[in-house]
Amino acid sequence: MTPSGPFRAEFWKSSARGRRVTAALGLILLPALTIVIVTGLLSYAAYNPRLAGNDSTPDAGILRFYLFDWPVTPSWLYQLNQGLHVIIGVALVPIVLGKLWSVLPKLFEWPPLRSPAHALERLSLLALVGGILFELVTGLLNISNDYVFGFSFYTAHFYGAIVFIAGFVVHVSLKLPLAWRAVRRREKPDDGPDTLASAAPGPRTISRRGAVGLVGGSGLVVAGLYAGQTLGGSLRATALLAPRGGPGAPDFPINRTALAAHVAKSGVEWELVLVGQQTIRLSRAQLLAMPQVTASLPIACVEGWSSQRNWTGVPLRTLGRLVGMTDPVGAYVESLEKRGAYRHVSLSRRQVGAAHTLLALKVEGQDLSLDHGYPARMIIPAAPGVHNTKWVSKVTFDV
Amino acid sequence: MFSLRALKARYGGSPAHLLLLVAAAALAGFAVLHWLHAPTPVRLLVWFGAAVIGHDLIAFPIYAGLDRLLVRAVAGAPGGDGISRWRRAAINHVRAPVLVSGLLLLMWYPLILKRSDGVYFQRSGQHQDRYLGNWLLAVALLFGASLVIFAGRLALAAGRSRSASRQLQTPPREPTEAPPGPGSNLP
Repeated sequence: MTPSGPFRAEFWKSSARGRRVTAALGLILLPALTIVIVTGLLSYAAYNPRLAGNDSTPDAGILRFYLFDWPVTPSWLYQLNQGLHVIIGVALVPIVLGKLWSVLPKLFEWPPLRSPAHALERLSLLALVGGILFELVTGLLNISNDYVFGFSFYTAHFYGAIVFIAGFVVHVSLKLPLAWRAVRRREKPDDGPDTLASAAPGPRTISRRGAVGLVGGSGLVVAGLYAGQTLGGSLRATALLAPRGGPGAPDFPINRTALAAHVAKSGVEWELVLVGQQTIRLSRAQLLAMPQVTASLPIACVEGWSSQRNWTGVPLRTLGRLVGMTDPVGAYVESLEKRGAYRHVSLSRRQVGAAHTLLALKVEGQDLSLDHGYPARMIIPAAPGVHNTKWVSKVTFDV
Repeated sequence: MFSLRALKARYGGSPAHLLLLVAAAALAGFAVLHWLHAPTPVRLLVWFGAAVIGHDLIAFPIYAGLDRLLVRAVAGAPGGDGISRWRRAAINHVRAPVLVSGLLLLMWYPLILKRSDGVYFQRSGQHQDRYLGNWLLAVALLFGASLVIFAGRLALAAGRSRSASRQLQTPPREPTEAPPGPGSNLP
């Protein structure tokens, strides 16, 4: 059987394809994807998934195995982690597409299967290519709040990442030596001919160097139009295409409005319930009468945006002592909100004990707005944004 | 009897290769099993399948076709003698802003086309009206920057060609044969 159409090598005309182009893009992707993988796994760990109710991907089984408690210092740890994850993820979109373009003739290589080894390798490309595009698409749709896919983002993105990692490890193991040789120009006889270069090139419209520059430059531009929402402040306005950026976007974004949470403005009747050796109730006036601590802490969303604010309130550990808990092993915080995945959080011993883990009553010296959690909200250094529970109603300290 | 040589001959790779691929398949299978236990396994697998072919069989034919139109519009029908340097530069000074504008639309269409305005408003208290304008501003900046850089390159090349012709006392050259400007074909 003779190949026809795209299965003929002569079908592919671009003179810009070639081993060195693919190798260059691959060597950009290798460290970038490694950072995205590591920060992604760390982001999962940041939720302290071992603690009750914190894991958004239940049944994670052995994948839930983390050897460490998420730290509370430096306070910008999650902001940095998630900023890197999403900014680099955004920058990778053009580079991944460029890489796929550079190797497209390989999809149609003839014969399609040369040996069992070759068949397995091609199968692993399903995990690699499907995995990365699935992760980029679900990630982008999630940060744009477009839930058109109709499945749990966490389940999809977490296990999709595992599928991708399987393909990625195989691909890097098999191809890194080739890529390295290609960019170092150490062409060896056993490298064979450049099978990525066109066998029948059409007129040149861009140099190979230009093609790599175009793809890499596109990545820098799309990331540059996004990154301001992670850095916040005056740079937020530069993030023309970022879900919480651009001119006119508020610099202190809201992740869930009181309207959506069905929380109405509480009057004087609101009382915080503290449960420890004994149970007590405190009004907002009583909380404000206690010694106040002010800390500058970022609130950093898993979706990549963040905002540094000055929070004022009572340290959680001070509230623990009021109910006889001098060194609680943890705390369970509940919200007035009746539904919603983040109406509660389990905090670790380290988080409860941190001097700057606050039950915040004010931000920038003003009472919290209802959308930002009035009458009181949690703010925890280095924790994922959704763990800073809003509209706190009850804290139970664990012995 | 088992022999490594027979394995290599039949399998087409080393034992390490086989081990690596089997281990990876097991890991991927383990993750997919979790998907099968999710409430929506078919949707997950359909979206994954779409991701597998999304670039190669859907996006590529579209953008390759558009690129062919662009090249034909700037350089005319493909001839035997290639495309001159300045026509090539012109192609790429259009290609780059078109590519980045298209990528931005592809990546952020839920915001630009207000597809997720309902959920977005529930979450942020804001509407998505500003994103169409933001995208158009980005498109304008990209095309503007590309045009300015292209004009700058042309002017630089014309200036060099004039000074070169003064020195060499040769007649001025056509812009298509102007000496190369600095940098690559790209902005």
